[in-house]
Amino acid sequence: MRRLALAIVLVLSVGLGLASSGTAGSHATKLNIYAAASLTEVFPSYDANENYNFAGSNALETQIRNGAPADVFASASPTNTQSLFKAGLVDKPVTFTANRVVLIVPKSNPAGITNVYDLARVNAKIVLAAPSVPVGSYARTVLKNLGISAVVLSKVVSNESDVKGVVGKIALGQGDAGFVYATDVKPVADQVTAIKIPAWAQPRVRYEIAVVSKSANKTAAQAWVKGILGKKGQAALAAAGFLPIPK
Amino acid sequence: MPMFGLTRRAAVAPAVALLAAAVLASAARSAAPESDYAYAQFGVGAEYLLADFYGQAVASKKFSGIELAALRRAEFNAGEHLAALSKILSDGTQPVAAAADFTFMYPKGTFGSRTSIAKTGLAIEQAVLGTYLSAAVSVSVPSFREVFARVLASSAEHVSVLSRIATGRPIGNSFPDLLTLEAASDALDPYFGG
Repeated sequence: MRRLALAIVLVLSVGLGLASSGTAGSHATKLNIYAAASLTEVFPSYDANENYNFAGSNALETQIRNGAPADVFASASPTNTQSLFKAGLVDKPVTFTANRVVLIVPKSNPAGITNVYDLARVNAKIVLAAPSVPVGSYARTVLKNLGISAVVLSKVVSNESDVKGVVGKIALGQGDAGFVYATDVKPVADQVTAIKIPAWAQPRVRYEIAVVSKSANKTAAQAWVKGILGKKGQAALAAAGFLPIPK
Repeated sequence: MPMFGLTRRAAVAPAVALLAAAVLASAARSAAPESDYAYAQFGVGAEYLLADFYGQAVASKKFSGIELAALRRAEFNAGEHLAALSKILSDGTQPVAAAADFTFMYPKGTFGSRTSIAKTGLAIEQAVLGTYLSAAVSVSVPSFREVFARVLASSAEHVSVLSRIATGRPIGNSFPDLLTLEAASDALDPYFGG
């Protein structure tokens, strides 16, 4: 009897401990985590035990709207999470990280681009994400802030469905320049060169995360969100170059 | 009935005039080219930098008397410049940066002496002044030009104060250089973190 009581206490304390720390991958069922393509490397490095669906945040929003079985949605823009929240499809979103936009060019740099203003001067094939994709919208904001959007947008040869599409095209030399997140550069650092955007022209890049309202694994999903907001989650994001949660 | 018609016309006329004014104002805003707003975007970032710089200069306790008062006033001016430039953007439904969007950094030892503070401030202010000069001669909306011209006159006073502390000479070139946004961005890049 005493042994049984001890076992119950042990099981309960372990369970509570895991729930309170939001430990990644500590639940029986794998979560379906729908996340922005820019999180492709960092989320599995933080927790390799979930099912991930990486794509443009706008595409993921549409999938969730259409009833896709997501448990957690992590978006590269508050636009997508807030839109779902207003529709009652996700719980209240929270900001969990931030990022910066950079310009990338192939290592060979055939167009000779050395700064963002060169985009307006040189004859270049520019690759962007589509305007509905967060990084596509951010890129257009950068160009507008710099006062060169009209001339540069006339040189766009491709509108990709997510940021990895832009990275791939530039890495393969199928475009002369493209806008991506600073965190997208590391995995292709041997193929592309990153060019800084002036700080005053940077858009406000905020990532939000939310538990999907119809999730069948809400408790685990909430713990996962808590985990990414916690010390371990934030350390993983920082290691990948993401910025801390803005105050 | 003519009486009613007159009254109704009298009531409707101001409303129509107001609507027309609103439409015209809106048209003027949307007619502003993006290059005009680019100067304001730059100015907002630069004034946040200057406000931070002067705040740290004041807190350094390296100044007293008239110099301290001047730096405090310059910090106040930066806040007012910021408000005016932000208004250009918000009136034009453009994104407006906030303080939290920036982190600033300065060369090691910047706030260690009066001279190093003044030299750093001078480098920043001269880049900003040169850009406002470009804005004052190139933006197309007259009301924007007026804002840039007034802000640059104030910035020139800051340059004079800092130049006096850094070099002992409060008056510089007869014709300060105009700076492009590109050159100014390069000049200020070392002060922006992230």
